[in-house]
Amino acid sequence: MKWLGRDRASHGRHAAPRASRGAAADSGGMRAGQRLLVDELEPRKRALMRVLAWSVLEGLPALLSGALVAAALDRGFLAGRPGFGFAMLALLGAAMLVRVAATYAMFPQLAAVVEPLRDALVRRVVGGALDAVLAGRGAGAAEPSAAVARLTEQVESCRNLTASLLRTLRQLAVTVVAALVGLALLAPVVVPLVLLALVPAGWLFVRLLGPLARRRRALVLADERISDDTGRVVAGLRDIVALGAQDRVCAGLGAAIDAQAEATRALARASALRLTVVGVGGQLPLVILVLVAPMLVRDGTLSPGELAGAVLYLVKELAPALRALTATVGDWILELGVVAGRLAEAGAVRRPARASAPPVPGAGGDVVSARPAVLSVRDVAFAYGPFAAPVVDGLHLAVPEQGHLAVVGPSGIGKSTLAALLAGLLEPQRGAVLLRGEPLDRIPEERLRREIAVVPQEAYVFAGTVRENLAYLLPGATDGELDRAVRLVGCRDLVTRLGGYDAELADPSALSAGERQLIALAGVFVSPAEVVILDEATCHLDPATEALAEAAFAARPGVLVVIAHRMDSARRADRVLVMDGGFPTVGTHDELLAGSALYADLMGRWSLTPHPRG
Amino acid sequence: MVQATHLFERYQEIQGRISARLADALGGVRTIRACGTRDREESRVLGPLPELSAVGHGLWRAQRRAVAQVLLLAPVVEIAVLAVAGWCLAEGRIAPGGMVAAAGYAALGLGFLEQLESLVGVAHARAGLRRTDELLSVPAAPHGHVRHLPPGGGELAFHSVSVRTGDRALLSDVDLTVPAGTCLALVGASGSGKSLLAALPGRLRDPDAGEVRVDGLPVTALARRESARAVGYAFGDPVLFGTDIRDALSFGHPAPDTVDIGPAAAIARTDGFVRALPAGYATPVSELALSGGELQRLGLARAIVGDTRVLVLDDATSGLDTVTEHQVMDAVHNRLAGRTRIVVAHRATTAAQADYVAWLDRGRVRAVGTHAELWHDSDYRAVFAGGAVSAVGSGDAVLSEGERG
Repeated sequence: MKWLGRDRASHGRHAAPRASRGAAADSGGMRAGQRLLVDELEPRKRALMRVLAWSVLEGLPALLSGALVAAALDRGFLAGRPGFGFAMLALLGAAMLVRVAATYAMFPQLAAVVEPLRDALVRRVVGGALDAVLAGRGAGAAEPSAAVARLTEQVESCRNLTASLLRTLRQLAVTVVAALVGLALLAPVVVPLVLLALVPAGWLFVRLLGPLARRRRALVLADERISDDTGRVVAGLRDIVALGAQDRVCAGLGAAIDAQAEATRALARASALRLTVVGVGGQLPLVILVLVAPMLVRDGTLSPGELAGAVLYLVKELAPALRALTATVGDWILELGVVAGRLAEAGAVRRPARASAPPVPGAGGDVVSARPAVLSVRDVAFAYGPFAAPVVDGLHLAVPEQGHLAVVGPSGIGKSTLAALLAGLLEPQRGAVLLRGEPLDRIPEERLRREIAVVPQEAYVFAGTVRENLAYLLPGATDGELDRAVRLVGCRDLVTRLGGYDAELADPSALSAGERQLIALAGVFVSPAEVVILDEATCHLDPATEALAEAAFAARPGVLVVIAHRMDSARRADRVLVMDGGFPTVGTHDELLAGSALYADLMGRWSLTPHPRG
Repeated sequence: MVQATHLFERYQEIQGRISARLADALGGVRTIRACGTRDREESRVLGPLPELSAVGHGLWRAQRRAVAQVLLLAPVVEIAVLAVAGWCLAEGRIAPGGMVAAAGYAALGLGFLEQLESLVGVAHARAGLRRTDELLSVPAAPHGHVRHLPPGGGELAFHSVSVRTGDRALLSDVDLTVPAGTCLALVGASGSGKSLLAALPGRLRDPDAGEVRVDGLPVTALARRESARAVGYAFGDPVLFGTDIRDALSFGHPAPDTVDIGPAAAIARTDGFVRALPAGYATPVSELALSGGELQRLGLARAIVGDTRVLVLDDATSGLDTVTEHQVMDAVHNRLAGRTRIVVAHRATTAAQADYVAWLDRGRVRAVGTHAELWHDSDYRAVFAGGAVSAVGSGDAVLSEGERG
């Protein structure tokens, strides 16, 4: 079911959809995140390969350190040839310089992986958020701020984590492999002893990942709750002050922050357990080697230099690498999985395809008046569900060139729904709406949106120049075109006050609702749209300004439909549609005054002459 | 480090721009849907992305230099330690094990250097701290310590009140007294300062000069939050807080559990649509999808529940159809007659129902009187009169009318 927010049949009114947080399975979220990362990193394969190539050079000191020190001892310092020893150490120094060069050369490759990844994620979040709200999903008050939080925080975490992992995890993995290879070449007998400790440590590491992932995810959700709640509070600061509810709101936010702190502590406790991995994997091999060393040296299996080299592999390469792996890198992997999972969930919306209605036979224009109809409605019926009362049923209308139609009726009767039907944003269940005889569902989406403009109550003004806002629907509009629109719609003073067309509107919310409506109206006036539907688009203007704007649109070529906010709009139109449940009536102001009880009632309540109270 | 902090600030600033653009676009969803401009919106929001990417690459270059400096230091130290230890070993001053120990200690010492990279995080934190400081340096509005209004019926007085923004005067020298228990309508063209004047008694904004008194007490003398007990507000676009509708209507009330929302709900006529919800007044606020008029009626009910001496209705019924609005306003005037009411009026009928009208024109009080008295002035009628203007016809001809308003 499409969801429009306003004027919806009461059956579905309560059901603003809301992402059920935390319900998504932990592992499912992680898997989705994994898929997202794999998808987004796929095009960066070549840069990744180059990173890998440099990594091999980066591992050179780790591979050689033990072997070179062993040679320096056995054949140099202990053999009375210090010169040879120094030469070996110089070789080690050279290997270390190679490593620095490799790291330096690798940075542009890392940037070439990470920066495009961030760009792709930003695009994904922005596109996903737009699609979600356009599809009517996540239209609740909290969702937009959550999308914005995703943009700033989660995308950034994803970028930073990927960067850190590429820098550190890759390097640590290279170090561990290089050290083990070096050890195997230098002192094969030690390798089984090391593996004896390393294998259980690895098993423990993997076992602890699950609980950690859950707590990590709880923390991310707690973060999101804070940004959701804060967004809602910021949006309603005025109301909070007016209600004197600062304490209660602060307490609520405080509770969210406390929950986040508790989630952080729970995660820290679970992380502390992982220190045992460092103990088992990093320190135990050394203890074992020291215990068996006297035996190995005595029976000649290892020379003193080889033993020293083996110890160096363990102390200098393996143990620090393992410590870093468990202490930080494990966290990063989990965090990345969780954050990427949330991003994957957010971007999962696909754009809804336009459903096509069954073809309408005899699509020729039905001429009601002498002039051919620009916009006509033929026997249209629409309801928000099979059991809901129809918003319109059997509606016939024809609006000719230069026609000016007003739509009036009590609030909640479905005026905005009618506007959406006339614009082809909703498809009728029966009948058709035609633009110059062509059914709307046969017109390509792009042309349809260009030719029919709907201006909603909440005017859209965005941060940018005044010109960008005014030329929103006609990019490249000339100053002359803008001048005319601004003058006729009645916002010349406003534009002057803002500082002209090229003034920057840094914060659109600083404009009053009426000022935003004026800018949106001028933008639509400039547009090439043939049919303009004002859906209470002037409700925040004072009556004089509203009348001026409506007069400007009435004089504009094409067709004007005004969903009336004040009854005065009806008086100005040449035809009026009175919506009264299932019984729409069309006529001129005078006809309706005489013929429609509801219209007379609506008009009677709204008179320009003051009448005494009571 | 300084350069990295600077780059981080730039990075965050560009990110902020993208976020602001996305937030704008999400707020304009109905327009974007109606205009089919989704793809253009996407590229507009993503406009600053190349710049973000450029600064991002700059951050990598800064990091590369820092990392290379640290990495160059390590081999020098390590090789020097090993060489000295090897020399001592050759001289017989230490055992082979001593050399291993020396190398181990050197590795431990250099491990600290690896942590230097985490100083990049410090740069990040410093940039964030600067942004937080901007917020924390905003001074809080001063409050007094008076917990209760003096006895009275809610007399409201503005004394030489002025509000400015930059050089522009939004309200100039407004002197106005609203007798207790009466209703004052604020009338004026868009931008004449109606809502701003109405915002002052509840301290939604403080005047730059002059003061506002309720029953003789300056509102600034009231303790924090007590002004909300003195003055209640209903807005055109209320934001609801709380768990369910019942909670939302008593939100901010000192005793939310004991308060009866029934009378307020009856005056604001919320029962009709709330009862149609599956859980009625227990429906969670987060699941509500209401029309503007329904939301306004809940906002009005919430203001009435507050039981304040002064009640301000700022555009509070603009989303209602004329029939419902008439019923609601009748109930407000008849059943809340004891409270002082300020109504920001766009329609003549609303002004006609008030005891007095204050007619605002560009931030000044142009006249005060009853609606019937003021109605003789054609300029006053022009504030409401759409009809007279539209009769003129072409847009060019009516422009002077519009500019005068």
